[in-house]
Amino acid sequence: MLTVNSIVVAYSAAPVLREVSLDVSAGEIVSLIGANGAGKTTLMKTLSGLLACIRGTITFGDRNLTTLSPAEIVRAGISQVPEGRRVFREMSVQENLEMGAYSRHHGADIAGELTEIFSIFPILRERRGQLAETLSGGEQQMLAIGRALMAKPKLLLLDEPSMGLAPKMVARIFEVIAEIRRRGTTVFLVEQNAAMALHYSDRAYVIETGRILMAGPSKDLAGNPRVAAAYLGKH
Amino acid sequence: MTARHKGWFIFVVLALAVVPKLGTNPYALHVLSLVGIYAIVTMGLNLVFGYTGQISLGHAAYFAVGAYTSGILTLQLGAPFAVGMIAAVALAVVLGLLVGIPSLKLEGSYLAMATIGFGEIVKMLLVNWEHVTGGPAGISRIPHPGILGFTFNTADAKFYLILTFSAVAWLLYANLLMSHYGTRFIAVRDSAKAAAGMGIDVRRTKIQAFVFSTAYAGMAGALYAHLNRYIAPDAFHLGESINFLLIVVVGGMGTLLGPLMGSAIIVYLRESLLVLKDYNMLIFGLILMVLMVFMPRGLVGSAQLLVSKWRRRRA
Repeated sequence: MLTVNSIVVAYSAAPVLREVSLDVSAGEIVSLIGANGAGKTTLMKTLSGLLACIRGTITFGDRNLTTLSPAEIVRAGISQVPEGRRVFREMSVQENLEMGAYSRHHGADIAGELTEIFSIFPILRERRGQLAETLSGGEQQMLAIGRALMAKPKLLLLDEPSMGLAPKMVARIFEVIAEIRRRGTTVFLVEQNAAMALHYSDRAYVIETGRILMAGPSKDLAGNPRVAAAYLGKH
Repeated sequence: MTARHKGWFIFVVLALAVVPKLGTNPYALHVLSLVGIYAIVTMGLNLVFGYTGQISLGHAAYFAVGAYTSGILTLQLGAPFAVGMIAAVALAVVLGLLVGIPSLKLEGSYLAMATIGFGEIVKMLLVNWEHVTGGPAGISRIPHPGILGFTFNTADAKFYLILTFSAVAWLLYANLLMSHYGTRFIAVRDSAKAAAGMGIDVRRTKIQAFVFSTAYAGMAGALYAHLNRYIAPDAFHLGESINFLLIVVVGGMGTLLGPLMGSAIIVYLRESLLVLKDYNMLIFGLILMVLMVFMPRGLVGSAQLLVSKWRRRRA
């Protein structure tokens, strides 16, 4: 579904991603794990069209994403939940969700989509009239995910969904991610919380200083001694 | 707009329309007309600053462009008021695009500097392009506005003209902001990154807000030229741009009615404090400080907060 073919991305002269390749098939949850500064967020920004690659190609289905604008990428069926959630603070929960459907043409079934999202996140239904800034961190993350789903994406990109959340809430978020896949959306996520990411994903990639170091089924990676030592805190 | 909004709108316009019939003196009507003009400028600026989150310290320049364009066309070329007005708005739009497209790549203090720069350029032009702008002495005896043979040559008539313009301007602005389309501006302000992720063209949204505001500033400038009938570069300095921002902040950033309330209070304060002569800015500054300490969200924003708290207590 998504194929990233040896892309190079740089801020001014310094390359941040060096020949990164990966692929995501329909129906999968694929995670990318790595430390701070490894290039995870840069990859996300490139996938969503905010950064351009110097070399390499990104294809989604049969479309070349490298030349599309962020808006066109959303319309092509890729939504992202940005790092740090970034809800629209001074809009209500419902208005935030409606913004998520912005790229869809008028008259789209927004009410139906809202019902679907409220069934995944009942708490958002309770809080629908509240301003987003009054939600807890975990609720804001749910809102950010719900907002991204409003665009009815085929592929959902999640940038550090566990960031800044209590362990209980992190588990809840990952259960929701599994539920989203069950409902038919493919998921690609980047995470520092490698234990959770490997537990909930089918396949994973390990990125270090802009290069893909390892790839494989998440179970195998979790059992790999190098990954265990570097990312899972096991010696 | 909901029926309730429409009801209030009609009520306020009618209430204002009877003011001249109550024997109000021409000076008071002149001040009220100024409030209308400032309200038009600051509605536009509120869209840029309050809703879209982009600063402009150059709006006095667009106000000046509108005033001089209509003033010069009607006085020197004998053009009708309508032509002067259309040309004023058109030139303000063109200059808004010209400045907005490159400058809105900048943010925060850099955008502030760029817009100040434009303001200074326009002011230098007004002072030095003497044979067109009249130089430091400005332009006097600008004709009274006239439409279809009717001349608005009394304080009453001018008040009605400006009331009509402000009412229409408010309708357009409120409709834009309450529409599906209008939520884009707030999205860009709250998080440009997330807005881009929703498929909103952030740059285009910023430019549209900016050009909308320069059109409003141009329109208000033309009205100002024909109300005052005398314009000079002094009236369009950086202080005036700051004044516009002040009105938006005091009225309530990102609130529909903020520009109206802010214009009313700032214009009224400025006029009534003139009796204090040299001390007037001192007292003006003090009042502003007190207002901002106790009402950080501005008049309308703070009132909305009070109402929502009160409702929650009752519920």
